[in-house]
Amino acid sequence: MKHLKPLNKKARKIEAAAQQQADSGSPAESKPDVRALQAPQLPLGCALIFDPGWEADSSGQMTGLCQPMEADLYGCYDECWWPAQLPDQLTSFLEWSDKCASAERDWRKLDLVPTDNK
Amino acid sequence: MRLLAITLTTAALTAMLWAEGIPVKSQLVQDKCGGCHTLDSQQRMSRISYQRKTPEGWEETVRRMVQLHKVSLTPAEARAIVQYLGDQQGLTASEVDKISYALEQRELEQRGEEEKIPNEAVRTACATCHSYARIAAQRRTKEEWLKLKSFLLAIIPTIVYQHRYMDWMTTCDEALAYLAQQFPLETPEWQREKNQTAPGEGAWVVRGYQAGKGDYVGQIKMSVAADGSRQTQAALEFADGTHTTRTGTGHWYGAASWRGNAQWQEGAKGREIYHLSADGTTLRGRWLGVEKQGIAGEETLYHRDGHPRLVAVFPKAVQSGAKNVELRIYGADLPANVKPGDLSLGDGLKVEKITAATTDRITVEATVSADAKNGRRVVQVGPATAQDLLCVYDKVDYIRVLPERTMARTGGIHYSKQYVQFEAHAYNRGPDGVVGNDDDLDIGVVKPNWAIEELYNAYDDKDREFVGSIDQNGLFTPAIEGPNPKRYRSGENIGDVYVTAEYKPGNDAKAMKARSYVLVSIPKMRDTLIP
Repeated sequence: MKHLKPLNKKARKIEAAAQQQADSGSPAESKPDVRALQAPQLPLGCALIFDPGWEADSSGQMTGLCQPMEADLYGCYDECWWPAQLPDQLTSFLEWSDKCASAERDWRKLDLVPTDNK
Repeated sequence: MRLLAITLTTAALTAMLWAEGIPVKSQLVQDKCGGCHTLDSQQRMSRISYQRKTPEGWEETVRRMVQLHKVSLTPAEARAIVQYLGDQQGLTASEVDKISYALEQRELEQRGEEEKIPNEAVRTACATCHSYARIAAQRRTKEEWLKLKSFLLAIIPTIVYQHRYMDWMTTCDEALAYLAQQFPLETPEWQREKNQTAPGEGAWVVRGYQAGKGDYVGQIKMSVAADGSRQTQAALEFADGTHTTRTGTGHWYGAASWRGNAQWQEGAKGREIYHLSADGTTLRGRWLGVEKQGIAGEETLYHRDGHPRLVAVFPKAVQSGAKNVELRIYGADLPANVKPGDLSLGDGLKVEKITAATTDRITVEATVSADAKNGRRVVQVGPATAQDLLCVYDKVDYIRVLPERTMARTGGIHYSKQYVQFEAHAYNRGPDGVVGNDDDLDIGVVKPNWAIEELYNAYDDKDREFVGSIDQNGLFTPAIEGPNPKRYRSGENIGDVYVTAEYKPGNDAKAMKARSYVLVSIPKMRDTLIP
């Protein structure tokens, strides 16, 4: 690598970033920068079966998530996807969306369930 | 003949299963649940008598009975039912110890490890939707374990379709067979510990840690109220010398599970989820901030039983060559009228004088020799010794940001934000002289400059601009939830970024840098008490 010289601005930035990491002296910092290639670290209970999971995708990141999630929220609610993270319309929370005809517009009316008084 | 043998075996098995079951003696449970759950001659109720769960497990069951089966309960009745079943049909100290991480809401990724699941069928048929701890927090008869399959098919009718890449029906059978064998209703732990009783009136000495505020110690008095609940009064002292108090109420469920609500003198409230060790001496757990989710503390309480004990030394690290350092040594029931000769701080440290001493707190002035080696010291006061309370270091070798990887959740409009309190800890290379291994010494928290840095994993996502902000105390505040028109396709304010800390040990020193990975995700819309 020592015979390679950066030719443009982007290449110089990459070299500077690598040098900065090497200089910092911290063991955590001297690890490679690319998280995507490491085993994903998922929150406890994040259901990857539905790929993506509720909080993260199968790489442990978020680029694979439906965005914004409100756009497809009822698709998840109707068919009981992510039953541990989201209410489901099939059995347990039939009235959850009654106040909210359009999730993308009225998502603020969707409550956390079950509420404490239940 | 073969038919007879099979019939006899089945009869024997049925008799064995039938012999199990925990009588339900509560009139309230019999009245409220008896409409559906039949009561037999030995006061065993169908389904209920054949399961044991955590208080959270029973609470979820009661919630479901109200939600789906329209049981009519006042909040007080619901609490009384959870209390009774949690008391009589809970997990023992040794059993709950293995899954307390989930109840205490410790995000596993903060510890940089994934949940260990011992069985492949359980991993693929169960832990695809929820944690393994959710299952391992239950004990059931074999018959009850096998009923789970029908229950899941009824309550989540799409479950087979969702697991379409596998044969869920068969894998579920395998998983349940494993669980029935692994987690039966009657266990050796249950036999050994089921008659233990919860602590009553008593005094405890506590050692705690709150990210952002640091180490603290104190005394906690627990008293029994007329209704059987417990009141707690705590007097606490932080490592920086500030004092505070905390009062609370709580309940024991069975002998080992403490659930409390406490309020600090400054007004902040916390929910306590602690578990008692099987020998009854140590109560360990976390309190979770109520106003700010994600703000939490770790505590270990030691029962004061007259046995001398050391719990903390502040500061917990001293620099070699330091002169006249004030060290505060905390404990319980230490010898009275202690002399410098009764105290030992380990190699290279000399107690010059004792400036104040009670049986719980000794203040000394000490000198650290210039050639004292890096490493932990054994502290001794009379008969009490402790290994990990004090260390000596020569210089700061590097810093780390803790937690090293974690998650926050957007919120603030309709859902609660989940905050993260970051800290920069200074480390010394330790006695082996090698940076970055297990014997490195955590010297304490330093005050760095905090910043959020982009993680380049998706083209031009500009997560750094949207996900939230960090203040100079290291508190990360995620942005609000919901679609953001300023983002590509009105995406949410979510993303993954680095939180970076830059610290200069001295004016002329080179800056040390460290960082943590934070995933800022969407709110959870369903409140499950066990993830």
